[in-house]
Amino acid sequence: MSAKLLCVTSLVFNTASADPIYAEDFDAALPPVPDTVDGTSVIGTWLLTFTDLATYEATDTDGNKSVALVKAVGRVYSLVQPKATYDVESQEYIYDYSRPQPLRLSCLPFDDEDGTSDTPDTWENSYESHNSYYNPSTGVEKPTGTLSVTFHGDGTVQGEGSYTQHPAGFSGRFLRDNLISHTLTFSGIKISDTPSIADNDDFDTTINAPCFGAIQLKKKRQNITATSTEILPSYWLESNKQILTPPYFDNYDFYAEVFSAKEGRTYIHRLTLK
Amino acid sequence: MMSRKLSYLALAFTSIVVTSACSEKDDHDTTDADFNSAIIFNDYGTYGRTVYFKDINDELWCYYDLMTISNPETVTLTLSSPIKGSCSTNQDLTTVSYDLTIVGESRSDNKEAHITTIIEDDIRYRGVYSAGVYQQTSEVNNPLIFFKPFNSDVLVSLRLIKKNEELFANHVFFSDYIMPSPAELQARVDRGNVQTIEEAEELYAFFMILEGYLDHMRYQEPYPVTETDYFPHSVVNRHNIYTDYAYQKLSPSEGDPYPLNQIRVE
Repeated sequence: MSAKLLCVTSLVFNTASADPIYAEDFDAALPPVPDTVDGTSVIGTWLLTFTDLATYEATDTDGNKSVALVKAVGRVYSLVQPKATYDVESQEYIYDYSRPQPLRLSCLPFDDEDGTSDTPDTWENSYESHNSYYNPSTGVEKPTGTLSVTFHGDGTVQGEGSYTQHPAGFSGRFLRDNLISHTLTFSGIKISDTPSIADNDDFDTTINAPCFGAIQLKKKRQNITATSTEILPSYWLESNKQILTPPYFDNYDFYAEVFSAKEGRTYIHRLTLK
Repeated sequence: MMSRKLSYLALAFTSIVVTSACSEKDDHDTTDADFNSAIIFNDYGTYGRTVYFKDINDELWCYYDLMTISNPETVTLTLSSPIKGSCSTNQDLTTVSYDLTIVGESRSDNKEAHITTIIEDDIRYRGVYSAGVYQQTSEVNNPLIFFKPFNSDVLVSLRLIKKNEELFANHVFFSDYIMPSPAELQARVDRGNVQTIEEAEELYAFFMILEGYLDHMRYQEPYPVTETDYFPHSVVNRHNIYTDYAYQKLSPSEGDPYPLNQIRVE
């Protein structure tokens, strides 16, 4: 574990890339932590690079199984926000910066299929979140996953998660791919002390989402590999939208264009660190 | 009191001596009792029964309870509006049906067939049974029990037991698919740093509403579900009530998929 930490840390502090990073290089080293951010505080906006290895299984009506392995490599922007409480009298939210909330990772590719995470309400530099499902007929709650996230106090973060099958990832008993298990690893850097994308003086952006980015997916089944590039969150591509300009990262910046033939317009998803 | 309420969610199930096993068809995969492609129960068809119970005021009620298993992928549960006193089809009865998705089957040591199910989508059919005729209706005209949203973190076991050529089943009810686990509920209450039981109950209600479990829920008529403040007409010991009444196999038709008048009235 410690060797892995050293390895990833060294990657994080590599010299910033001069060229834009496209899908085939989404696992390239992140740029260094900007001098402008306070690395000792976890609250802010983070840029993460992640790899997720997943196993899907489909069964035919004779009981024969077909396995598909999916490797997802990508980068996402994510937030650590302070605890927000709505004050009825002032009709305003009150933010408690001593109580950070977990990283917003809802746009990651398998998040929907893991069910709901039980995240801690208070933590400082690290936390674990847990997934499970409950059977009221038997009274049994079955754990299905744990994500461990550690902030190093220098503007870097690392996370590891391991998940098994959950009802939320069930597609069908026969001839449908069901998510059996997956493992997530990520590392990241803090790029802004402000925990917001749209309401952030550090950014020039068209985006208003707490978790977004892009991934390259490689799906291998019976020695046949299919590769695709997707943008996150996945709803950016709903309603027959198509990627017009492939997503890329340039240092701390992000750019992608999506075309909607139905609406006859192009959506530009862009974030630039000023 | 809070822990007592939570304990109702952790329902026990009284085992029943089985004299006739379910199908012995070979199962493909029993490595995970919850998720697998094994086929244990294959006596497909529509089954019906009447269920009698007493509400919290000790008044007797009855309703028609149907279960349709046509293939190894779907179970449809149907219930009628409750009737005070005895069951009878001499009056108009509203019905609601929900599709459950089967995610696995297994067999327990005493040969019960366990079918694990989830509700993936809000798939339901509403109808009126009048003078022996079933007619599907719109939701607007049929306000019978309405649960939303369902909880993707819940997987519910349907336990089927054949005894003396009769089929018995446990207490699956639609509310099972919306309730968080006792640990989840406790965690939500704990977040509020409560000092008293009354504060805990208020917070419990608050979190249930905040997180959507009580959204759009209408539940004004009695059924034998868990006893909580949110099901004010419910009764206790529903698992005993359900296992006291056997299902009989029915002969549905395209025009009458839920033939209530074929059900033997106890």
